[in-house]
Amino acid sequence: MKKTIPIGELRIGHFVHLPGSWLDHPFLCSKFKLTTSEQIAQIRVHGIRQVVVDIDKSDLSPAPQSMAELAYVSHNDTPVDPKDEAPPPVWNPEELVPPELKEAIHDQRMSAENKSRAVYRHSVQMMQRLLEAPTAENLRTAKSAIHSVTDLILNDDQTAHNLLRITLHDFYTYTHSVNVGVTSLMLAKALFRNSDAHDLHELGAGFFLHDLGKVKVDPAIINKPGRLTEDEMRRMRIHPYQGHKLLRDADALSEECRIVVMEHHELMDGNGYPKRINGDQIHLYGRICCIADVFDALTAERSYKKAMTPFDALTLMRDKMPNHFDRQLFSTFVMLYK
Amino acid sequence: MANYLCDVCGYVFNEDAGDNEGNILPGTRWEDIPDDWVCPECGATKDAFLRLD
Repeated sequence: MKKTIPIGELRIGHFVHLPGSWLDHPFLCSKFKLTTSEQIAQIRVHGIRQVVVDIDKSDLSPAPQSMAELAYVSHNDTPVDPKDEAPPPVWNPEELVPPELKEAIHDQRMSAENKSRAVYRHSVQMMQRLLEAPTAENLRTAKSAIHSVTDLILNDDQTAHNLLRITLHDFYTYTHSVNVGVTSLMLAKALFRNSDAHDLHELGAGFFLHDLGKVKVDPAIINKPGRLTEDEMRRMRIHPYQGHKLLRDADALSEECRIVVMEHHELMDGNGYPKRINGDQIHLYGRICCIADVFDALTAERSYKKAMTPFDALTLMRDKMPNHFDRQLFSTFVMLYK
Repeated sequence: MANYLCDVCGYVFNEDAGDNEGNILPGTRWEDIPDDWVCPECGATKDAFLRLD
């Protein structure tokens, strides 16, 4: 697979295809594997801003093989120099939800494929805006839009399955929230199909907002491409509780759905965080979100680590993380990808 | 007065400072903090804290 990436993301081990002929740059050949940091500097000096990288021919770090390794993988890919970052726009509730999102949801004539693509793209856009301006009013507005997306996932099986497929192909910032939202909701749908004891709309909002608390973590850590240090990892661990507090203060979502946000990093064997509770002490909704969260982290691709196929990710979760997940929920989850 | 480190997120509780958000008055000793108090940063329970010497 070939991917165009900005020069700032180049790493030793990337197999690059430089633009133009060999006359345009100082290298003997336009296609080669980077072995030194001087080569990256030379590419930069020649004013090349983007290069094509052949991921299959590159030496990238292998995909993480355990929860401990996975913990250090950030959700971000593109390094951003804080100086280059525009001040975040101030979103108010009227502009938060792209009008195209509602149009796509309610368009009766759109094919399932186009509909899922539009819903996905505009959901990601909304989550991006929300994380830039997580005010109480915006949280409530986003919640009502997620309500409509949840309706779609529950009632339109074809669009829902297309959405699930898209989550496997989109790996960038803000998409993780939507990916885990869609994936958890599909698992909840499979589990609670014949039950009216669960409010799937509230629950859907909880899933989409599971990482909300990351807005309280230092952006330098959130935006760091690559592995986090032990100290940075500790700071990341405040996000479940901080997200729970934001939702509590905004009085958004019922307490049992806020628990999704609070407990999505707890593990069945008690080795999760922050409360280190285990088994049935973890709310069922938290156990659902945990499976979707780990699965998305494993199947996501970053410029510095390989992505796993869904099959490999599920096999790894079964064999290498046997005590982390609720077994019964995990069996149902596997069936989603059959 | 002692300091206690949250083993989950790295927050340090200082007995002199207390924890305003959690209604722990400055000067409260660690033993006197109720068991349902949680780390103001990450929500970890009291048993996740280590005494710093």
